[in-house]
Amino acid sequence: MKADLSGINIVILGSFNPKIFQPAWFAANELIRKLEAEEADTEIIHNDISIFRIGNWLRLEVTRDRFHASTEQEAYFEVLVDFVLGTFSLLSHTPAGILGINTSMHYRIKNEKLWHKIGDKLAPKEPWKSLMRTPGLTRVEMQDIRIDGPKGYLRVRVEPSIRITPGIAINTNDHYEVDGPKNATGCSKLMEILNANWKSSIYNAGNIAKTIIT
Amino acid sequence: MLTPPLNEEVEISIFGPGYGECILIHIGFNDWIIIDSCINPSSKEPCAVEYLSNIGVPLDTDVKLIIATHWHDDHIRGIGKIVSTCSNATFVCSDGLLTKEFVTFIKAYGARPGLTEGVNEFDIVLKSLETSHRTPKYASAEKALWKRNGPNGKPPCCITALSPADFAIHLSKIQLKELFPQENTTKRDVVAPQPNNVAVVIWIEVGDIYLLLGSDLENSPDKRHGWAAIVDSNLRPEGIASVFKIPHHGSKNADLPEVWEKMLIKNPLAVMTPFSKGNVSLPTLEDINRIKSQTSEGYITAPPRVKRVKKPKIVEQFVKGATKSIYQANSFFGHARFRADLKSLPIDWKTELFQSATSLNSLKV
Amino acid sequence: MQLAKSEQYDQYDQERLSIASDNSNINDPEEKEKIIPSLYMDRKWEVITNPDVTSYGQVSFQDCKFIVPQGEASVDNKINSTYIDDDKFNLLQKEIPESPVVWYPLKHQRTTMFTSFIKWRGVVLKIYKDCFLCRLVDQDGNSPDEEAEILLSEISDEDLQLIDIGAVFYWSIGYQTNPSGSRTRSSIIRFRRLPVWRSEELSEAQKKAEKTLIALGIA
Repeated sequence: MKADLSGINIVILGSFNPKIFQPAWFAANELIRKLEAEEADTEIIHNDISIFRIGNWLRLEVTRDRFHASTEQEAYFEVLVDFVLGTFSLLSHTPAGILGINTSMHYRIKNEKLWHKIGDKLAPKEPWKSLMRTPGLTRVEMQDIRIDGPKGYLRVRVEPSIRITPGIAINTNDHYEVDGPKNATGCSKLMEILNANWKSSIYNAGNIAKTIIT
Repeated sequence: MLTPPLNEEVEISIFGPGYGECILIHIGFNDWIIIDSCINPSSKEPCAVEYLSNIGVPLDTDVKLIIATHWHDDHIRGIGKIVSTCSNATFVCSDGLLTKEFVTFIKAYGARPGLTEGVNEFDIVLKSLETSHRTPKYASAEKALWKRNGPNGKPPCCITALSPADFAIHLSKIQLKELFPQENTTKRDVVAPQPNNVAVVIWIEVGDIYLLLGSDLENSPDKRHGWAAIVDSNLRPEGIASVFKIPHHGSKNADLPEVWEKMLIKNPLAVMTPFSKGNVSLPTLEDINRIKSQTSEGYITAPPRVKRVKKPKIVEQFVKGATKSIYQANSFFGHARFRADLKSLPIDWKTELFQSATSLNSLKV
Repeated sequence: MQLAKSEQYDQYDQERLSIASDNSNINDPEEKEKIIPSLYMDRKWEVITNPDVTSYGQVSFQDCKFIVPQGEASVDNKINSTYIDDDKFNLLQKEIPESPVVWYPLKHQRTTMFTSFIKWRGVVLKIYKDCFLCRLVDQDGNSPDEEAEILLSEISDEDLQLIDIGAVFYWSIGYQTNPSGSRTRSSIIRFRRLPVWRSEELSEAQKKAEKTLIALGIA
């Protein structure tokens, strides 16, 4: 069951030098096309923060402790992962210990009645009716701790979509920890986790969304 | 289907295609051999593991030998799981494969983020062997791989490799060297080189039954390797086989009339799997007719070419505009099984065909 | 009149919150209590060094920390609670740079979206004059593998140089919705770009190979 709108973003926490993350650097290392680098929409490149967009598929935001790459085009999910893997293959000594593989999915719901039904399934209105006049679900968030594999958790947030009406937005945060932020040395382990888990993370997010919506 | 063979029964099961093929041999008295591997497209599990589990065969004890006649994922998908599940089986691969250069090649590709296709299965095999402290065995021409000397009333059995010849091993090393990653070159998937110089042809003698499993071996103008080298060898085991796993999907390049004349009985039971690559599909009509002229007991696990499954209109429109041609790569999946009683002479093979498997005589081409 | 430092911080905080909030009137004392952080600006900034603030509109720099109020665990994917759900994961408490950046609230920008009908992973098998043969594997597993001869004219100029035996690409066919909402059918073929093999990687592979061969009793 495909989402009407979907996106993924990869967040890595570590220690970065934002100034090097420029379109030209990525093109020079053949991680993006040269033309894409030339046409990049750069908001800021600074010692403390860099933000730019490549084509219509990548948004990159890097601060000293956070690397955030995102796309809202399904055709570029693998390209985004390659981009991140490629970047940190070149910068393998970058200390980074925490990874988030996050998905964002928006589903159109047939009608408002069904939309309410989904909300009621997650958070029934009955217990609230004695406390509120017209209770309505604005957001629900659940977490599951990972018991095998890398340390971390999965968080799922469900709320009405602001992009589609009536619609449901389901966001997942698949969080992995290798080292505490101060202990991280290099990022190879984190990249192995990303490489091994990104596909299943997106697949699981889709399954979760399917279970919630149907 | 889900009944195991009797103790005194020999069974040959061939599965495919699933990119590649898988052959299971029961040599009597709960001793099993697995040759190569492929994945069942429905269950996504290795056929060998799935089938043997379904008929109640304990994989950790009864599988004695696992032979990989290829090293590329396309032909041995799932073999990693087989090796780790069949924890007491000896793993056999072609001589010349487990060199330092080849294993470095495996490790380089196996470890890199973003590159998992081509040699991942072999990496899994090596890791499994390492963990379980099993030393692999090498196959080369005229080398005995496994023997059962017939204790406790079990008929004797000998499994011999008829290839690769020494010269083929030498050629394969040269071929593989070209695939090794070089510094400052772009990372790419590994595409299986042709021909398969490390193809392992297997000869099995169990009691009075002889089997010739042709793997992917092709003919060569150079008689130092290929089928001619096998037929001409004075060291190959004696006997004539009643079952022939036709090599290289029945292609003309792998057919040598002398094999039919000198190594097989008249009208042997012959079986193969189909193959598709672009607009090439094997066996061709010519191949089928040639094989039918040699035996009336010819079988194939699935028809060679099937009609492509159409996609939604929007997809077909773009595909039509962007391509010169497009074909479905894999045929349907099938399983052909043959069983015979070791004690009854003449040998009477009972044929069972499952899923898309069919006889060549029934094939509509 | 120069304000006292603590008053400067307070003023900055108020001004920042007023930018951030959806519906607050900073001058109304009653309204001040009701300031609701914007959906798009959940981070709370805490000033820790001397500001050189004249107004938030100028290029002025203040130290900042990424701190989430106690008890609040935001999963907003703009921020990624990957790290802000627990104070101990606050990375920069001691390593804040001397010259930080003033953060302006940005309106969420709509981007182009793509929803695919099919997505293939392709591998180049052979190259011809005007096309290349490839194997296509459906990434959703809904259809069998296919082999196609794709025209070179379908490939972007820069990707043409990436075509070689074994080169991998992704081919998606679906609908593209641009920020203004209009929808078009689209086909995107894009070759993978991975860094080249480095000597460290090859040395590492060699070491692993030696270790494996010894363990297998071969070397």
